[in-house]
Amino acid sequence: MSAPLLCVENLSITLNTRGAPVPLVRNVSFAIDPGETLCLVGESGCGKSLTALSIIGLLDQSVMQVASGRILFEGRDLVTLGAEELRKLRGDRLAMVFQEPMTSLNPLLRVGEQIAEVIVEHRGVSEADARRQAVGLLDLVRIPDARRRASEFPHQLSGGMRQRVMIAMALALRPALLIADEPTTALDVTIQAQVLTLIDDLRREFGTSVLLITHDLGVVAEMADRVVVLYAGSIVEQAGVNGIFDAAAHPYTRGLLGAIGQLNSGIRDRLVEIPGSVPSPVSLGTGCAFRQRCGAAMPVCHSEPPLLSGADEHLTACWLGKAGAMVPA
Amino acid sequence: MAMTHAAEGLDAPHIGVNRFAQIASLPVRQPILALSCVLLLAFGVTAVVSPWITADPAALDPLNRLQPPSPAEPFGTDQVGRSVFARALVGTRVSLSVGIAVAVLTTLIGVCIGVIAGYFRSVDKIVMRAMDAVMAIPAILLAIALVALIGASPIVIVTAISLPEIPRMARVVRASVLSLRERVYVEAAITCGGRTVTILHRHILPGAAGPIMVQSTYVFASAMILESILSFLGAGTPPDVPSWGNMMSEGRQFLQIAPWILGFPALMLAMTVLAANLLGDVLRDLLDPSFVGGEMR
Amino acid sequence: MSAVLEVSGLTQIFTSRQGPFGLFGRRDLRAVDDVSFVVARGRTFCLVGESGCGKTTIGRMVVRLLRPTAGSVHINGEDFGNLSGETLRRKRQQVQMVFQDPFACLNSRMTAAEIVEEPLQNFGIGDAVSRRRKVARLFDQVGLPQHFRARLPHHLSGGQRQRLGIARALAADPALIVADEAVAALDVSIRAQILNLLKDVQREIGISYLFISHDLAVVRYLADDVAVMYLGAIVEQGPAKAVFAAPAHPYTRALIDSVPAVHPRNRRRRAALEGEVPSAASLPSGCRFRTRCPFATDICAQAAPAMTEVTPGHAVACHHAGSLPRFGAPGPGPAVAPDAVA
Repeated sequence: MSAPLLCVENLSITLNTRGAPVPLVRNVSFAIDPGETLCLVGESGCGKSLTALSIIGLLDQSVMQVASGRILFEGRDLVTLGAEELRKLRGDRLAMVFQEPMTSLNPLLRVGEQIAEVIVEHRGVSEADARRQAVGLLDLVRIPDARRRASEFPHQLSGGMRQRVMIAMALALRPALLIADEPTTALDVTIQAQVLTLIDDLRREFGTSVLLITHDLGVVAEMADRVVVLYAGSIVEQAGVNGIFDAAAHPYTRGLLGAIGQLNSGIRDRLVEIPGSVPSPVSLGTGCAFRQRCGAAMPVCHSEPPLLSGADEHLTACWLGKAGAMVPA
Repeated sequence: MAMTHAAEGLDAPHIGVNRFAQIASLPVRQPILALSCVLLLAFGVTAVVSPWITADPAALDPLNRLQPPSPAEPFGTDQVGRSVFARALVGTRVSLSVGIAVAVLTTLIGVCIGVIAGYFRSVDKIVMRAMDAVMAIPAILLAIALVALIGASPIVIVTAISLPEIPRMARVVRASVLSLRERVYVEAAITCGGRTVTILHRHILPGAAGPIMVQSTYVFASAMILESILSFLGAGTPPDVPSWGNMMSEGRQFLQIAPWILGFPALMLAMTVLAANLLGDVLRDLLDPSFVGGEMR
Repeated sequence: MSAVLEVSGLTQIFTSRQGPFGLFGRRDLRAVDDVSFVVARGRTFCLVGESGCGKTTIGRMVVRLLRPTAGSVHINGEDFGNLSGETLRRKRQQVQMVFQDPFACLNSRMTAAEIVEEPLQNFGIGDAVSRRRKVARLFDQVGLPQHFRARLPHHLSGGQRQRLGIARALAADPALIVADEAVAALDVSIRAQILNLLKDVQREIGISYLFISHDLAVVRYLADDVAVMYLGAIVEQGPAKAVFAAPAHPYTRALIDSVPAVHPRNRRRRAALEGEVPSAASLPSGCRFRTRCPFATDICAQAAPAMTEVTPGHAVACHHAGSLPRFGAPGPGPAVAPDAVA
């Protein structure tokens, strides 16, 4: 068993306010092995994007910060790493693809130049050489007529094409870890299928680890080796992909799976719904964050936060079926 | 993306906003806003009460001509011995009332034109080209011509100053209406059977209120300057009414020996205009559409 | 007559002028091209397709936020597509809309009760007292607590705002609600709530929906009838059950095939549809799907296929509809058999 490539330990992120800092991500721990695809799943506001941003060091420091925890990547702690070293690591060993490719590309530069720029920056090769490599990369991400496309501007490309350019740029230096934050959410379903297949093929080919952030359990079913489910800033369940889909233990995970499973089965009964909505991070209180929406909530759920525990790499943060649940109310 | 999440999570209903605390802490959070409001308020009060608190601004005292400022006459006296202090205070009335009248008139007409041009695409081009034409007329020349033609009266002066300001207001309003009419909630109002008038006053005008307010403070400030310029040139307020412009015009000849005659009205004009412009700037920053209600959007 | 909405020959052409002052001529963009369909009373008709296929433009023409370039829109047998002015405004009561973005579709300066009451006022329904009673009833109907009535939209969650949007659409008792991607902006756990609500309402009051979506799972759950759109035209249309069980158009097949698996067990290598949607400003000759179609032959470039029925009520516009391999069976192109991966 090789050592994990990335190891996030007890990561907490807080929002700076005039009053007490508001916790947005609380005690999140997970690890990614080389060549593995880990999916961070959750709804908007669950902290999945913040977790990704903190790994790549792009957290908006003026409003929020890593309050505690470590992010070990190839043996170095990214939380304490200096800005310059982090910059060198970024793009080289760590790369990120965002949801909206249009906003992450410079509209004034030809796409080939933008990719070449990354290569020149980190590898110090000649401009011409970098251009050649850029065309090769565009070819790699299956952009037809790569040579011509390299000399086009981002607005001349379609959404799917732009996302491929982003992936080409991210993979330019063969990073060890690719972080993809909702890479297909803005794309059409036929294009989504193309992009997901592409990411998976490249992972297979280069042994890149992938941290895929998504709200779509369909994407998880397609891509993940292991799954981390986040709710209101904490991990509620973590398991292998089959463990999640076959034996989900947390009521939240089950609720999510119930809704999409039913939708896709073609049965048109009333959908299983999770009542209510996600609580605000300032009003979580004590106990389990999911307690107000949980059909199985017990007295202990209101007083004590459940800890992540379990066996065989299937961890759940829920009082159901635990010794603590026996505590009399 | 991350920020929207954070901000979204925080606009939960129970985080109540204490209105009183908000207002009470205003001088600390927005010192410039507070300062400019206080200044404008002070000038406003001065304008209203000045006839009762000062000496007769027209009273001549030929024995005490061109006296420098002293405890008895804080701003000194002019070439015929009138109190510069009394005249400057009473002059506030002319400046402020012209400023307010022009701001109100410009806003009323400019908003109507801007809304029509912005909301009804068919008339947009014609109306805005007409506005461009009006804007091309130099304000001062127009005012001088009107005064020469009709004679100096408050109505003529206010009209002459307002006319070139109206296109500017109309442009600002048109720009916000153009963007507001594309909003989904305006489309929703249309599908809900809203009459055009209802849609305009219920859904579009409130959204444009911010830019309108900001623009009218600028108009207010520039109207006061223009009025002073016109008076200074002798084409404005009649010489028998004390106004800052008249005073500066008269004081010009004595600038070398009695600079206070020109200096104090100029200072007061500068302070009022500065206060109005600062207020406009602060309002513009506060009402920036990307910062609606202090919430990130 | 049980048709609530009857659309026929609906066309929308957007014209943009080229060059400075439009000197270099006009460019026509055929966003919607000769679309016809019928929405029956108490049923849900879904328009499904990818972005740019014209489904939203159809919705906007049906609620008359946009005037059709050609074709007709009839509501309950009466003309709606060519009305204007006050007659149009009055007739709007029959067709209401639920929007995609629950944040943008509500005026942030109005309270929840004011928002729901607005259509009642606009259409002159009832007096102040009865309107207030109706608003209260609508709050109950969409599952909003009564104490939310004085709240402003930004004090509500996304799901609650969408409920408010639905209450507003229901307020004037329309015959048809056009819902454009009404659940696309919502989180997974909220989506089920809103879909259930839409179904409950339909069961209670027998309203019809024109539901516009890119999400096949949602369409499959909600639709009684479905029309698949590609580049401004309907390529396949019929009862949802028939279309999903036996998709007859290569594009419909590719669309269904592109939907991610529901379970990691069902992972498979997808021979995804090649290429991208061509621009609506320069449509391909003949069949508009031929540039991406794995079954395209010469005839596809020469003639546009007409809609023909494969089974009663299930029509498809494809020259090769009769000769395609069975859906899910091995064959060339996107509808290949699953070959398990890893």
